[in-house]
Amino acid sequence: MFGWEFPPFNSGGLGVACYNLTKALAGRDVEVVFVLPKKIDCRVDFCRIIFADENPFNVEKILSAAYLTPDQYGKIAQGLFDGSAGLINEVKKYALLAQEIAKREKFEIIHVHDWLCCPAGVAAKVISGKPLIVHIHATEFDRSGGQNVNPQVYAIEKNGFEKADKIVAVSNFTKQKVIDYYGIEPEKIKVVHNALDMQKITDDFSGLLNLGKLKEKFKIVLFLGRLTLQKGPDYFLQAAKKALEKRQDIYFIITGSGDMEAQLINQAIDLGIADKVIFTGFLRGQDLTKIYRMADLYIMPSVSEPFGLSALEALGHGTPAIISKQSGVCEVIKNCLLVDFWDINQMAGKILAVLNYPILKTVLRENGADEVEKLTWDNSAKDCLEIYENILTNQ
Amino acid sequence: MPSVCFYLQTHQPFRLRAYSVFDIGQTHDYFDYQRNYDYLARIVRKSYLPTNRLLLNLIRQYQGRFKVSFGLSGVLLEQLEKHFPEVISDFQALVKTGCCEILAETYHHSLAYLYSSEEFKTQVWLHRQKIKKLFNYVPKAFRNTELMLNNEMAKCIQEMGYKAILGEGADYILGYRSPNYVYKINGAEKIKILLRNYKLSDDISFRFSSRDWSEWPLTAEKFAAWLRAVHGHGDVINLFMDYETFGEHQWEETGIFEFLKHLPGEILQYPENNFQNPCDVIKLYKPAGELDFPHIVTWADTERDLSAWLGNKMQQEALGKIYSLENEVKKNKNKQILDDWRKLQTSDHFYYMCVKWFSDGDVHKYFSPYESPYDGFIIFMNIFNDLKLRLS
Repeated sequence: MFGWEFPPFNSGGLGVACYNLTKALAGRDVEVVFVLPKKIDCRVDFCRIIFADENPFNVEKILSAAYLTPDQYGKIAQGLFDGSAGLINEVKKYALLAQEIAKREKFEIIHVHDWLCCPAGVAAKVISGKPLIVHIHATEFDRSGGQNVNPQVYAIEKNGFEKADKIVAVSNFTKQKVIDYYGIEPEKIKVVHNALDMQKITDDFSGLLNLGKLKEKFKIVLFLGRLTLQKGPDYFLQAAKKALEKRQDIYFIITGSGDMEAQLINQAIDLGIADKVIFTGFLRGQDLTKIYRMADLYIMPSVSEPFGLSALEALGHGTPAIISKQSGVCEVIKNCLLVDFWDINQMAGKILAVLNYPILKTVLRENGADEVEKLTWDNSAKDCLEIYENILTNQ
Repeated sequence: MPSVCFYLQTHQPFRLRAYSVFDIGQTHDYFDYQRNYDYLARIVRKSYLPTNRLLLNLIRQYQGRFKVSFGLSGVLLEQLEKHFPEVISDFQALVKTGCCEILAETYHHSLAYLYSSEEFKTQVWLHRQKIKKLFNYVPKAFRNTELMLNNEMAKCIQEMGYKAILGEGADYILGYRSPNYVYKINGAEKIKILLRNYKLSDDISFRFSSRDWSEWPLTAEKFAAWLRAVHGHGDVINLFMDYETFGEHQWEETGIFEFLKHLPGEILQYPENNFQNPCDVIKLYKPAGELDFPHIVTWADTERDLSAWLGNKMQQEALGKIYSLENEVKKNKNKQILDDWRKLQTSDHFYYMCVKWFSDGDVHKYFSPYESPYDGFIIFMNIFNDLKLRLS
């Protein structure tokens, strides 16, 4: 299995999903070799982790390796180093290292996560001839919020999707994107929803974050996610402004970091609500638990959300959620309030409803917690296992 | 063969529009006129018009031997009078034949019985006035919203002067006994109860078009044979269902109208067979025994209880709140407020707030104007708060 990030070194849901899925697969007696591009300090007992950059061969060695025919060498050299730099270069480097790993390791199936690992998966398939599963947690259309889609990333995704024997999408929402924007036949795509690791839901309040005083007099509404166009934090602020017109005892908390941070701070000032908005930055561990628990309401106003793990985390912590209809998580959670991310009035209306009608909050949190408990990673692993077995028997 | 008592329940609510928290104090316009009109127009076209005309033809064809009873909610009649007078006129023609009985109920298809005896009686009276005015008819048998019934209610209805009351033939009430007899009810000596034969009723209303059903396709001949099988161990088979079964729940394409067209013929081909309306039934047959309804029984879902309307805290809150305004609304003497308050009591509003079917929500989603039961609650509570503001 090729991944890009792994907790505790993750910037979002991708690492969390990889970690939990691998763990649950191991629980079903699947031997997973998890490959990461770079050496990080993470140790787990349920699978073997390989760091690609620890490979005994470095890139230069690979390029000059004796086992490559001149033809193969030419293809790699041309196809992979075409002058691009940065992340895309890293991704391509990862693919070269993946070839090495694929030669060395014994495995039956290649399972890769997102575009970052697509070239690695394709390379491993070319070398080993083993079937390839591409697991899609987000497409370029989600990450970009539909604007300024990076053509190189798109090409990498499209190639990966086409070369894959099977595609796993984290929701029907994502499956439809893959059909519509990448021209992949629907039969090739299976949906495996993400889940919640209930062990992560603790009552540990030892975090440093201290908003206790605030909680006494004010209602707290939480946004938690990367501060990017995709996640819709700007809509959150607009809805906050609207809700504050009706009720002033609300604080709006924005947790997360990202390229829109400065813009959001300015927006809060321009809207005249800067005194009612708190930016906590990126939170982990007990602080994260604390912020979820403290919130009266969690909002996920994403413009395009392939799944939306944090909505499950919020519900798991007993915090009711308002969720964008443009998300995958609303396929598995019914006990939440749905909104169109652009409909500020509707969002503000629902914020006020949860705060004004305590019964609504109670019913949402009770039913939401029951519902989320049923979404286990073991179920997701079972679905993946079925896909593996199908591929292997049909070979 | 025993008698067949065929009762059709007809009702459509005034559904609420997406009333926002920002509308509170700004506008008192609560109802979604366009949507209500659109739904009604569809049902009139697909169900009410063709079914009424078929029923009228059947009554004429069998010269009084085919009979049918109706429940007509006041809120439906109000909408029909305004937009589809031709349907009212068809119902009038049906009642004029003398082969149709109209049952008493609450004008607003409400759960008022559970919250306010005074309001309940007023709504039954309002319904009575409406039926009198439109059909020159006074109902003698009673049916409460969703066929709800318990001992105490039967007693109350008896005291209000009704001779018969309809109920659900729930297994857990009947035990070994059959629904195909007239019964008395514990604590009410005079009033007689007619119990729905849910199996045979649901064969038509739910299963008729189901291809997974081993009895599909259901023909009038086959159904009449099932009724005949009751001969010797039953006096009356009560087939109670939603009127919309004909043409709306079961589309014309399923053959439901053909079924209805041929059913009376199949049943009446034996001279000893007949159709009877509730008031005839209680004259013809003596009670076979006394039943005990300690709790409210309804015709809904497998639970046959009120959980579809009162099963969660949102529903309890919303109902509690709306009835908490009763005194203020009545003191206020503003006709519009009173009318709005009553229309907010229609049981459908609370039904739409039900979350128990997130696994099997088909029936309940039907005609629900909301994407989610939570939206139903929010909209209702926003309106409640506006109504409250109007009273202060």
